[in-house]
Amino acid sequence: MEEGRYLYCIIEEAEAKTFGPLGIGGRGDELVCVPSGGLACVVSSSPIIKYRIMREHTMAHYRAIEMLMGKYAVLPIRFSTIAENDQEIVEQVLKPRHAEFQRLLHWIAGKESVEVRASWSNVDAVYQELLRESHSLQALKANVSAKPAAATYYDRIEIGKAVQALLREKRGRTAAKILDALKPHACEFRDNSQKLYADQSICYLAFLIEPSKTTGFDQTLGQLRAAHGAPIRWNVKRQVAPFDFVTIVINLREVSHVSAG
Amino acid sequence: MFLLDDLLLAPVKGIMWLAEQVQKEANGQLFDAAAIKARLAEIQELYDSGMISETEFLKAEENLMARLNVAQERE
Repeated sequence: MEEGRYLYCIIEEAEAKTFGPLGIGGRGDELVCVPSGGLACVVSSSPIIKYRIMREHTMAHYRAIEMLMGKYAVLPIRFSTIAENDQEIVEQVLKPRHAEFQRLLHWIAGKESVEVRASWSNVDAVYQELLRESHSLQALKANVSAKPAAATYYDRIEIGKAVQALLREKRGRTAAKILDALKPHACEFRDNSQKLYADQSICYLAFLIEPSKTTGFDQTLGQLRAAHGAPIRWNVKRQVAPFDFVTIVINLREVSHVSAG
Repeated sequence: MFLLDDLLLAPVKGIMWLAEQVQKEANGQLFDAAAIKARLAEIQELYDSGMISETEFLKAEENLMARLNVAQERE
């Protein structure tokens, strides 16, 4: 199979440095820089294939970028982007888009991407709370209780729908409060909460924070945790690769060979 | 003739149209890349909090990544 170069990210680097055997594909390929004009594309050798989205491959892509984030501002490149050779990278990617990459690198430099996810620790307790607060739900429940079990199929569906609607409302209100509290500390944010599926999920947010705003962000997050207490479980990831805010898309070729694993 | 055909076939065509709309909506949700990524984050959380086992997590992740592959093919 034809051998090419797998692309991970763009960094500001003038030398052809190497960063260790972290290449995708499990062959121990070195991560290397392909420099041009003060910028570099970080790559590793790879067969020219389309990598299927699977844990092994996405983790390799992510780990390489995460490692580089410790030393550089990075512009992540979309997963499974492969070039034929270094010359193609220089001539088709780095040179024509030099100004764009430079602008984006200066924009992202020093900023931290933080992911904030919140969920209810005990969703059954939330259901009980919704029942206590909703007269219409209590009425529906009383109606069901008064009938024989066999006659309550459609009533139970109605109760289920009502609970879902109330849960969605409660999730929306809680997510909005969290977002409103945190977004003043961020230069950009992404709200992916609408796409959440599980009942216990509240919000799925990403923030891009300038160094001067980090303390304020952390303080507000601490206040939110204290205010909500044990009912809400928080999952905060710091120094996340900034895919939510910038992902470089490079269209070099259509690849027909798909990785087997 | 054609108008009569349309009138006669309207109920069947209506059901087919509805089925197509349902299919479109289902596919839209099944292969919405942003929704799949959110779901990946959710199952990670379920696993981290001990609500699902490693086996369940890896199986769910595999299924979601398979759907993500399809979603990206369709882009």
